[in-house]
Amino acid sequence: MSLTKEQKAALHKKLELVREREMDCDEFSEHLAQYVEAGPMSEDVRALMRHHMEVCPECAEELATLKKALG
Amino acid sequence: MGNSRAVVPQDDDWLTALRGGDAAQVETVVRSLQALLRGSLAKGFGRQLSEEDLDELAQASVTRVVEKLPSFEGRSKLSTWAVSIAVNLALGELRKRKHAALSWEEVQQRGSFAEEMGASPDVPDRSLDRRARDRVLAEAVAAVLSKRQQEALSAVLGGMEVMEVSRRMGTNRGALYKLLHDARRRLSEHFKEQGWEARDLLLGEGEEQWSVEVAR
Repeated sequence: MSLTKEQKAALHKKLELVREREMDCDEFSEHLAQYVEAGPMSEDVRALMRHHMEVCPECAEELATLKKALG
Repeated sequence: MGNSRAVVPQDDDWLTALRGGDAAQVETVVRSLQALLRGSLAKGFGRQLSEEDLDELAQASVTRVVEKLPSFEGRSKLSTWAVSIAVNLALGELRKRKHAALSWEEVQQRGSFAEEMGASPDVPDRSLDRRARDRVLAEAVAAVLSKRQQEALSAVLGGMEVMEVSRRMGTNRGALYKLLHDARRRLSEHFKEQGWEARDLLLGEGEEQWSVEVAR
């Protein structure tokens, strides 16, 4: 069985988003509370978080849920 | 990445109690924290969590918060940080339930790179193109990715979420993300070295147009 068209498109997107330095899910979680409070944070970290959410929809969902939980 | 931030007064009281208060103070804070987390989870997840889930998850979250307290650096409010831990725990539980009926073998098969060797006789030319592309992709994956990377990538493409894949592979999601990041990087570099465009290989442009022509 080979990949479906949708799976190939998903893989293509993930390859397009490859960067030399990326933030992993644990690092994302570590900064999440600070990010959601819009606390002081370097632009570098903020950019890494934004990029991470593009690659990892689960972490994007985590942020959205956290916002709702705090709302 | 170490911007420190002053802890707000209410959180300061909680922190002081949790870090060095007497048993009665700790108990009071734990009760307040548990109520806060329960309410936050109810707001964040709505009907996805039952009353029993909320009780159990709030309790488990407090335990997790206390365990992780030494690593809390005060870059956010303690309460926000605690809620983020509770949300993470609840999402993990929901994802585990969502994939409970899905076997590892099934998800591996769904995200398999192995190209189908059987012919697709109605569409010989274009089909050969597609099969050739699938073969190139399968060979690239086998050549540059470790077995563990192949397994992880197949599971994710097979529809399993990273958090659950990491649980099934006996690792954490940070380590799994790094494994997948390295896999994506290796594949990208391999395609470039071979002079292939990922777009051509994976998106197979022109296929839809051709299908329309065949249908006519």
